[in-house]
Amino acid sequence: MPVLPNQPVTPPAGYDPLIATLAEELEREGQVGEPLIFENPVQAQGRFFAVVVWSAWRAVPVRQRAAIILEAYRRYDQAHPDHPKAPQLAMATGMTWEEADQRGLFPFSITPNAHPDEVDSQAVRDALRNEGAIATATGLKLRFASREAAQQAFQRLQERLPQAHWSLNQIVGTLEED
Amino acid sequence: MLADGGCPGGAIYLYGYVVEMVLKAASYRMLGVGANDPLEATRPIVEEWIAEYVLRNKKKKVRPHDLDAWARWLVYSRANLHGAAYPHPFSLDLGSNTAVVLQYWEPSMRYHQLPCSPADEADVRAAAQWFLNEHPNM
Repeated sequence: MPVLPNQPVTPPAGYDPLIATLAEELEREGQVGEPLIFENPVQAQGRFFAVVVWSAWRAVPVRQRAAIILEAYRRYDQAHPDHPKAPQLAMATGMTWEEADQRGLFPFSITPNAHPDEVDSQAVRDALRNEGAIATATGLKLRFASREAAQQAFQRLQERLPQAHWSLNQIVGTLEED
Repeated sequence: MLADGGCPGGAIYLYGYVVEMVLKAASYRMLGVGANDPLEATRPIVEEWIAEYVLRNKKKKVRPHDLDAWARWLVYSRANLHGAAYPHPFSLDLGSNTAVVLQYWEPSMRYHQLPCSPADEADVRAAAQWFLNEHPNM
């Protein structure tokens, strides 16, 4: 059996504001906006995979992101000493929205396609937010992991604001992929 | 050689497959598959498990060369099948190094111009080297 040294993961210097923001976001369960945090269980021993989708990662090297996420969980734990999460974090992945799209994290998306003079843009934003769209640095994004959820939201948006000319899109990968 | 010959993208292209081979070899080894054992029977079962337990959708098909799914499967299977989860820093490093490779690498690189810099190549090489070094510990 190999021996794996249990070395501490050092939080990178210079990212304190980002760590603080993420730690605060861990408290905002169920609320709208970035970052979007997924905690998928590994099952055994209560461990979980965390995926944090956030525009702010654009300015952070990929190699640093896991340590930032871990440190944010440690700070969260300081306020929740009875239910610490950091020791259960099995893997932490930080992705920008572009990277999440590239990796197919949300294969389904809904977008409006109307010309600005066809529909009130505020009404479109309200409708998107009402369905759970996330405000990102590149605008509102309405993304879904499942086809069923996307189709239901699409129906509601069609009924609420048909003049927005909604489209339901699916990322199917590239034809070159093999 | 590719990197030294001014082809950092070509080097990255090969590093990605190095990582894929290490991840898959470690995964199959954990299931008791030997180095020379055939994989035809085991592979579809493992991919079904990855879909169900890692991608969390039994109907989902594992994308070819999905390094992230295989890395997470390794962590998952180590905890659930092997009975001894990886130490915390190790699994985080596994995820980080996989993410570094995925930032630059994809199989379809072979069809495109590769605008990768020597710095990108160095970053991915370090990640691939981590996999080679840690393979015995996986």
